[in-house]
Amino acid sequence: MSLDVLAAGILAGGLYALIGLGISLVFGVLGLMNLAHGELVIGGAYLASLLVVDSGWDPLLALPLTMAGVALIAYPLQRYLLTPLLRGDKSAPLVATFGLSLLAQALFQGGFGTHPKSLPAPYATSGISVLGLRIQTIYLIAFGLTVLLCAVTHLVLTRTRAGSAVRAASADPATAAVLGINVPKVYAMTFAGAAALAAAGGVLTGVAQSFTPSSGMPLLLTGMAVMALAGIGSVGGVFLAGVALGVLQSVSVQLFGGGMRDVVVYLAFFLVLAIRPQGLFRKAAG
Amino acid sequence: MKTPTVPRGTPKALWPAVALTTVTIAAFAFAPVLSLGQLDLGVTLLTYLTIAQAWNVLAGFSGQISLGAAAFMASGGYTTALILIHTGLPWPLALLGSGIGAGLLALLLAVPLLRLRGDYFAVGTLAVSVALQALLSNWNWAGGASGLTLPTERIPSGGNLYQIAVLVAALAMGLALYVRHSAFGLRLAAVRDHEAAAAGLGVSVYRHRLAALVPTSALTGLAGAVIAFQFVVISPDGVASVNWSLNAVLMAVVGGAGTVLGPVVGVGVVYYGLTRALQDQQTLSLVIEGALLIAIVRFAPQGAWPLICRAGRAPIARRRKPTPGADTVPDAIPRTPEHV
Amino acid sequence: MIRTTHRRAYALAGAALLAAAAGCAGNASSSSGSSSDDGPIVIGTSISLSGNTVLNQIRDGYLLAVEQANAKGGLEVGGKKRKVELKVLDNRSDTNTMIQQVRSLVLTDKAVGLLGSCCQQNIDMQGQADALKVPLVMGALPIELLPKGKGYTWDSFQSLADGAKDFFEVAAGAKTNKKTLIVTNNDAQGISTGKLWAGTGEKAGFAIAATKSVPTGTTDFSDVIKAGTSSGAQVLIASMTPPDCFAMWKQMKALAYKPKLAIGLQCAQTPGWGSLGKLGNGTLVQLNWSDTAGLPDTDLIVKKYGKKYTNLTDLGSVALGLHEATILMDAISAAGSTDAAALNKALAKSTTVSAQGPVKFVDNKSVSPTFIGQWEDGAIKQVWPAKGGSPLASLSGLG
Repeated sequence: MSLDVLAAGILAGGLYALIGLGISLVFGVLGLMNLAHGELVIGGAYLASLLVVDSGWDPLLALPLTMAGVALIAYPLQRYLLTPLLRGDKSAPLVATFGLSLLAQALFQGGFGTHPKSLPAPYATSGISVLGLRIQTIYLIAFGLTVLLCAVTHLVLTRTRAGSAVRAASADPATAAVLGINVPKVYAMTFAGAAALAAAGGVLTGVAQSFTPSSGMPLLLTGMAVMALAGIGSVGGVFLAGVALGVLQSVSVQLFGGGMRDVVVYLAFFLVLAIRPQGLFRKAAG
Repeated sequence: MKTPTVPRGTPKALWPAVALTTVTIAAFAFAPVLSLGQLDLGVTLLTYLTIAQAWNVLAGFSGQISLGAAAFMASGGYTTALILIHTGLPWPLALLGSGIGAGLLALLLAVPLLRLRGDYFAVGTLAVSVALQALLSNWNWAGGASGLTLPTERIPSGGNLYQIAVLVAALAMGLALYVRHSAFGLRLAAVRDHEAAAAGLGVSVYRHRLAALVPTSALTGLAGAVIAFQFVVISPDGVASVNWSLNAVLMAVVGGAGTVLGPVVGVGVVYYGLTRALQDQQTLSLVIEGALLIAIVRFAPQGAWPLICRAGRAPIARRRKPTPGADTVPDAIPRTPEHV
Repeated sequence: MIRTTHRRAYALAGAALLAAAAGCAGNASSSSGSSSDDGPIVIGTSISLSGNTVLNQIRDGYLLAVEQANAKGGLEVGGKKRKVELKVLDNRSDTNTMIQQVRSLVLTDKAVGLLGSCCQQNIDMQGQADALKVPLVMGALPIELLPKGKGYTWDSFQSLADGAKDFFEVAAGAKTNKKTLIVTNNDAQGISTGKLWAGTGEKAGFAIAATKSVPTGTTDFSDVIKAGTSSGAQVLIASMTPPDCFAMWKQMKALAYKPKLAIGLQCAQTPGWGSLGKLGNGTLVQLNWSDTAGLPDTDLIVKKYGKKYTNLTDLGSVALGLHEATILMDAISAAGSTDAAALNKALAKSTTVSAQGPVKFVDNKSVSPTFIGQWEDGAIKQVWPAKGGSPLASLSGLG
């Protein structure tokens, strides 16, 4: 077992957690399985590329602006398209988000072409040594940023008025509406927040790796794996689940070879789901 | 909300059953006059109908939204291929083996899967299918990533294959009709709409969910065998592709989930209106398909079939006195309204 | 009331189904003869024009070939000149769609021949050509990777063995410790490539320090890089999809693994490699075409597409498409028939000379030339064969 590889797995897990956080938030609060989550992530990367590639900004400077931009696009989508659908059949919003994902892919293809793109930054290709381990700087930054964003999300949900409205709407939308909470608005705010988190993940993915118009699907699957490991309703759980997924990948690559990585990961994902439907990091629903 | 009465003697199911039998016999008998291209297209459409209808019974009638059709397609396709390649058994037994194999797989997976509720069930089935695809890619005995080639001289093709596809699709339609018109289906709907209440009335939730999962999976397995016969070469990229699962959902939802004829309409709309009509449009096809899917679930959330029904019924409704609740879908088991 | 609506609904649906079936049947008699006498000769392709892979360049090459043939009045079949109609269907990188489209091209549109597009999809398409007994001409699949089929598939492309031989000749000229690290995707193409290049390398006196295979879509290569640093391998061979190489190149630089020579098979061929900036400099790439090699139709390709595509690999893909379609159409002319068996016989004897040089099929495979190129500031320069090429630069991007 190589410690370098394990460290890389833990750090990569930070990025997984960030991608899983948005999808988990939307699913937990709105009960909506967002099949366009991958495109929100990639959309963040493309939006940032306008500032980074075309105007020479540093990706980390472009990050807050990108998060705000994607959130602004996401808000009306939830408010005027997806929320009305939530009242009807469960599979309707699923199909709608699938339609959105196709539309977004077409938009990326038309606007940016199909060749892979990547966001250049000095820290994308630099590394640092910590305790004799060599670490890629961007993954360390991503890990730190994930911790920060998880903490902010947790605090917003637990310590603010808006957060308690979200929790109320999540637990019982009918009662929340009676209590005067504007449930559709809360839903749209939640979705926009999740989209902002996704966009942050996208910028970091673009710096650390690369992206094409069709990169969203694997990111969606990663996000779902994180969500399933974590269970619903705990930001800390999502964070731990992301890290667990990163470690699981590293360990399985070293034990069984790269080819078996997906088999191990998805079987683990399924087993966790089956044995602990409430997630690894959450107490049984009381 | 009016209470549905328990059907006895099921006179309501008689006409649909007669219609299904007639259409099946007609479709079956049409085989000799169809060209090779039409037979092949027929197999494709009927296979889509089978998996969309199987999904519809599982999700539309029993409330278990699945994203795992690909897993059972793959198990059916690979079972048939492996039986034909490694044993001297004739194809009918391989086909049967595919159905039984997929049913057994469902029975096995039910242990963990049926612990999951709602969207978690969808995620679980998706995980199963992605894991199976990854496993098949690494399983060298089953051809690994390049897949398997079926012995062409020992598999049905052309008219015979089309007739098999007709029978498999008829089985799926028959299952949907049975569920739609039987007391069993009514109990399934009760489990779907209000699990706790159904359990309180003495309906075994677990057994009913299982009774929906196993036969629909077996049907999907049969569809997988038909696809293996049609494609001759099967690979994890093809027969285990998550696109099967997405297509099953799209077709059923676009046509009208929870109705017997919805998937029929959905297969037509999605395959002709989207897949075929847009296949030389490139990027524009993504735009149109995306926009259409959104428009359909936004403006016709119950699907196209109930919409057609309402349009067809309008002349009668005008002649008669308007009935309260007349906008409920005639073909669907009434659904209790969700909160909000 | 409910009962009547029911009956109406089912009767309506039944009638509609029967009408549709009858409509189809009526169609049958009229469409079946369309490709057999006076109409255009139909050839078809299912190609990925959206999704993971986008092959517009190969499609443009097909269209160029058909345009050329039709400008001369078409192909002579049965003593009569007939125009050629190319049907191009986009399969969105999905294998099932590709198979369904190929089947409908042959069975409904009566395509007499098929053109294959790229890579793994070619292998799946071969199964259909064999099952439907229709000739398929393909490229972009190294000839060693063509599975042994039933003889309906014809592959004219470069050979992995040639590429490996050339690469190791280039590598022998550079100063390295000859220790080699190989990393490939774990699909059929990747694994075969890895084995073949390892074998050639050992024969050329290189030591294979480690061979790693990773699933497509891998983002964390620390395990592979660890193998590189711990063995001190200075020669790197990667055969992966572009996103995988992008992630690995960034991680290599960050983790301070510095090979002296690196080739990106498949992945560095994308023009998107330029977006890596300086990091991509010095990476080698295997090319199927070069504008300085004196291949036939070079001027035509450059004149027609030199503005649209500025990159050597893109123009090479246009050349590939032109080459494939020309082979197929030449064979139709040579056979003087659109009959599949006659066409297949004519392909076996093909003497076409087109954009990728002369064609001669042995066991359904014909080798086209291989070039090695090198990325330098967003463009590829040919470095092998040394004649007509630029001198090899150092792998500055990773250094």
